[in-house]
This record gives sequence, C-alpha cells and structure tokens, in this order.
Amino acid sequence: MDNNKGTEAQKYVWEGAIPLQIHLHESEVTTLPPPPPALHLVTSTCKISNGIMVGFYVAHCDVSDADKRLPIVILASWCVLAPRIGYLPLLVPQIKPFFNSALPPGVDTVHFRGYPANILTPCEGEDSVKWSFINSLKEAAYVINGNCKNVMNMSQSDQVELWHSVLNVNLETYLWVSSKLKLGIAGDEFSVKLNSSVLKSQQSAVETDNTGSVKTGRIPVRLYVYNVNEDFDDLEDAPQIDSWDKISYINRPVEIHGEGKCFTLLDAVKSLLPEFFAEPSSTNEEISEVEVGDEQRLPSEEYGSSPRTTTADVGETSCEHVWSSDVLDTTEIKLLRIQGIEPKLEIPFGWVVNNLMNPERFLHVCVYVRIPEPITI
Amino acid sequence: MASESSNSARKVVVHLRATGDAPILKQAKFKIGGTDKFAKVIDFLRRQLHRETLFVYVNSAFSPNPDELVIDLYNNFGFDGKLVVNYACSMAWG
Amino acid sequence: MEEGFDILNWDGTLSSSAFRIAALAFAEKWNRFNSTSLPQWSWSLCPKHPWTAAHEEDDAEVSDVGKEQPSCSGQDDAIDGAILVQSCGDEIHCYDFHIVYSSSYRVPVLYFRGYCSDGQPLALDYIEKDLPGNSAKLLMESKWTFITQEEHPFLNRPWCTLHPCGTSEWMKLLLSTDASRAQRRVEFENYLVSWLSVIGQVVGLRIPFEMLNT
Repeated sequence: MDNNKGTEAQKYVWEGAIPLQIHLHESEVTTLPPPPPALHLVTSTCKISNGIMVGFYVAHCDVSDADKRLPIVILASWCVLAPRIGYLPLLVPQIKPFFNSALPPGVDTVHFRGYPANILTPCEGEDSVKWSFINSLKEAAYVINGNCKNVMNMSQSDQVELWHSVLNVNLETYLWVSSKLKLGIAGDEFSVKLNSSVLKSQQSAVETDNTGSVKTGRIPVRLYVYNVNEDFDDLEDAPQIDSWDKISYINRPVEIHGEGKCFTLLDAVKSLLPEFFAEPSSTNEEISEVEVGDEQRLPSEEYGSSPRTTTADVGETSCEHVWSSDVLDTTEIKLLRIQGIEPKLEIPFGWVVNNLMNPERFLHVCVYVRIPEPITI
Repeated sequence: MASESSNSARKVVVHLRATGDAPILKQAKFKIGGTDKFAKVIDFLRRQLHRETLFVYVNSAFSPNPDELVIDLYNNFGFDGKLVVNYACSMAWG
Repeated sequence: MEEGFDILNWDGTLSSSAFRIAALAFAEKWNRFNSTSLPQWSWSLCPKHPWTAAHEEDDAEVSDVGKEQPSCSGQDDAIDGAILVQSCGDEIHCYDFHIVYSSSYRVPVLYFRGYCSDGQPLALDYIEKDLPGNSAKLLMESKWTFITQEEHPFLNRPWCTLHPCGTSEWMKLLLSTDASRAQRRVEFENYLVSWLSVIGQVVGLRIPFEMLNT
C-alpha cells in the first residue's frame, strides 16, 4: 500500500511531541552538582491519553519513588492531568534513564509524589491504558458507523499491532491496521478533491465496506473548554491552568451536513458551541463567509503576537455573532488549538478530521473562552 | 395476610418464549412454585440452552431481578393464567 | 413534542431531549413508588458550563441520592452517597450512581464509584468484591469490555462505567418484542425503568416493584 504512508499533516501530528522538563526533587539530590534536568518529548502515547496536553500548556507536578523516595518533578500538573493521570506511569521507563547515575541501583517502582489519592486510584498498568484506547476507538466507531462491530471483531493480532503502532509512533503501521476498521469518513467530497491519494483510499474504503454499516455522517469530537476571566493578547499572558476543574469538555459528535457547500471547521465549532454564534438573522451564513474571507484585514495590533494563527479570526467571529446577546456580548473564543496547531477556521472540517485526529479517531479540540467576571456591586 | 401466603404456595405456569436468535424450547410451558425465586427460571434456561449469558425479560418492559419471587411477578405481570418470559441469547455489554 | 417512538423503525437509542423526558419521569416515578427503603434519584443539571444554556439537557444526569452519607467528594452537585453494601469487616463502602446521557452512543450510561467512609476511593479490585456474583464472574472473564474506569463526563474524575456498546441493541429487543400485541409506540417515559431493570442487576440496584407495572 504505497498510498498509505500518511499525509504531511498526519506525519507532522504523529511526530509532534510535547516537551517536558523533569527535575530531580531538590530534597533528594545527593550529588554535586545536581543532575541536570531530563528533557523528554512526550509523543503519541501520552497524546492519546492526554488529548488535553496537546492543546493546553501544563504546569507542575511531582513524581517520586515512594519506596526509595526518589522524587522527580515533571512539568505537568496533577490537577490538569487528573482525569487521565493513570497514563503518566507509562512515561516512567523513559524518564528514569536520565537519572540513572543519581539513582541507587535496583529502583524499579516509581510512585508519584503528591499523588491525589483522595480522588484517584492508582493506574492499573499498561493494559488499562490500552483498553482505554480501544474503548475510545469503539466509541468513535459507534459514532461513525452506528455500531462498533469492526472494532469488536478485530483480531487479537491486529489489536496488538495497532496498539504497538501507537506506542511506537509508527504511522505507517497504524494506517495499515486501522484501515481495516473501515472508519473512513463519508460526506467529505471537498477534502477528497483538495487532497491526496490517502483520502482517496479512505474514500474507497468507505465504498467497499461490506459489513452493512451505514455511515452516519457523524464525527467523534471532544471539545475542551478552558474559561478565563481576564483578557489577554498574548498566550503567554493567559492565566495558568491550575485546576482541572476549570476545564470542561464536551463529548458530542459533529454532524457533517453541507450539501454542495463545504462544511468547515468553523461550521463544526458553531455546531458545538452555538451559544457563541447566536444567529440574529437568517443572513448569518453570508456574514460568516465574508468574515472568514476577510481575516487578512484584521488590525494586527489588536491581536498581537501570533500573526500566523487565526486566533483573531475566531475572536472576531464570535464577537460579531453574539453582539445582540446581553449575557454573552463580551464573551469570546480567544484561541482554538488542535494538536498544538491553531488551524484556520475555513479549512474543510473533513480535512481537519482526517489529518489532525488522534489515533483513537477522536478529534480533540481545545478552546480558550473568555467570560468576563460578573461585576460585583 | 393469610390469603397472600396461601396464594404464594400456588404453582405458577411459566411460558418461555424465544426472541432474537434464541432457539425455541421443545417444552415451552412448565409449572414452578410461586415461592421460588426468578433465578430458578433463569437457571433452567441456562441449562436448557447451554448458555451462560442470557437476556431474560418480561412484558416487553423489564428484566426481573433474580431475587424476585415468581408469584410476585405472576400477580403483577401474569396474563391469561400464565407468566410469559421472553429470552434471547445475545446479551452484549461492550 | 414527540413523546414516543415507532417500535418498528426504532434502533433502541434516545435523543438527548428524549433522555431528559425519560429521566424526569423516572425520578418522579421512583420517588412516588419508593417506600423509603431505597435511596432517591434526583435530576440535576450539570453546573460546569456557564456558557451553555441551549444544551442543558445534554449536560444533565440523574443521580442516586441517599440520606445516610453526606457527599465526600466536595463536588458542587447535590449528590449524596448511598450505602449499598457492607464489607471488609466494619468498613462501610459507599456508592454513588449517576445515569448520564452519552451523545456518542445515544443511550443512558451508568457511572458509579465506591469509596470508604473517609472518602478514599475504592480500587476496582475492591469494587469487584461488592458486586453481585454474576457480575464479578463476568468481570473476571471479560475484564476490559464490561466495567472499566473512565472519566465522568461532567465531574472530570475517573468513575466506573458499564460499557454502553450493546445497550441500544438489547433495549430494542427488550421494548420491541410483542410489538404486535399492544400499542405500536413505546413511551420515552418508560425507557429508564426498563433500562435500569437490566443495568441495576449488574451492580445490585433494586427497583421498586410498582414502577415496573406500567
């Protein structure tokens, strides 16, 4: 399968990683000078589990060896990662070699310092992570096909191979094994026209699907919403995410419908967050098209430091649309990120899904939403 | 109270009806003591069908708890002098 | 508003607004028929999204509330624990049950968690011991496709959940047998009672008998 090597964008996403800087906890430093921090790139293993990590920057946490009390600090936050914290242990084997010289020999159990045992139970190991992945894949299959038979009937060897392709960041194997699942997305003619043979091959997979599955036209999406109260121009000035509870997520499929009209990322976001796109009149669609086309003329000073992105685009769009609402007139989407990328909103949604989705077939979208604090009188 | 206890000593006619992909039993009707638990009906079906997981339900409305007494089910959901129990073999969780 | 569905063309799923109808009816009925012995169910909207108004039915859940124990988790939902079982000597295990609508599967999903009286969450191993015999057996045979820990969609904490892949299929089977006999429509209002009659057996939850008599 020559055409199954993945698109440039897929490669970019798969090879992309989140940099972590890991320090030995100062109370545990036994050498002089203290060992330098370990620099570690978290690749897809963690990205599946922590879709959130991809979009939001992470803060602080302690990892320690409880038995030998050998602490490591990871630049990530318990709070931020809390729901999927179980997956961090998978990083331990990769992190430990960095500190080998500073560690006593024979340390092989690493525990987490400050583990929030009052809200979380310990990770059950790699199997539980693998099954969390498979279960998400099933959910995605159900959304796309209306059933998850293809995933449930996957052979044991395919299942193992698929999981290993994710663990080892092997895009080619992943595409090959997952193509058997027939999870291609129908109703995406625009992307097919725009794009490469990979999409065409997925399209043909859709057509040759003989399992009796009916494509629902639904796309599995997880939208993470981070509410901020203060305004900011530069992302670096954005308030730190210090608690997971400030982030909420919506797990709601997006339905691609756009007969003869390109269904864009903006359309998808609108369908997930209709509150920001209150439609005062039926001319709304025209307005949004004009806006999208006109992003170039946005005053750059107003949106500052990220000229490459469409942050401004999102902000203005939402402002324009909610102007008539009393409650939401100052609420805006400050930033939208997928896989760490800030894509333009006029990109066909089908392309975004096919190229930027996670290995478990969900598209993880992160948005910063600014809601001004209510004025206290 | 007295009438209730004599009531529950009665035998109940249970009619087992296959749905979905389940095989039909040779003998579909049989009697069971009113004081027996519904679990006995389930166990009987398991043995007859050689299936561990079964989907057993009543009245197209609910799946009785195995601890319910057959007479209670009959008194509430019996029809035409018998309790109709549907069973299917497919019962998939995830 | 549509309040039922044509059995013959029905696939066993519910829309989120139908879930809302079903959940409200369920909670009302439960409270009417429950003779105090069982914990109450209450309908609560998820408070997490200040910016969602139009979709509140999606963000809602039915939760099981007991009088015995105050909430241990510090969540802002009005959720109390219900004492379900007693085990491990004197240690009381509390369980919270939530019924949450899944937009992916378009069916209700049961989420539950167990904790000790000091609020310490129970690991799956311990929960397993509290489950009815049949479920414990099933859990051993098919550990990862029956009950696993997932994020609670609104509370952002790992809770146990029963996999919903098969739900629409057995709900269709359950409600559409005898379609010829009576009316050809099934009311949304009865959906959750039927659903819980199956799901409840897995975790040992009983339903007041009168509720089943529709």
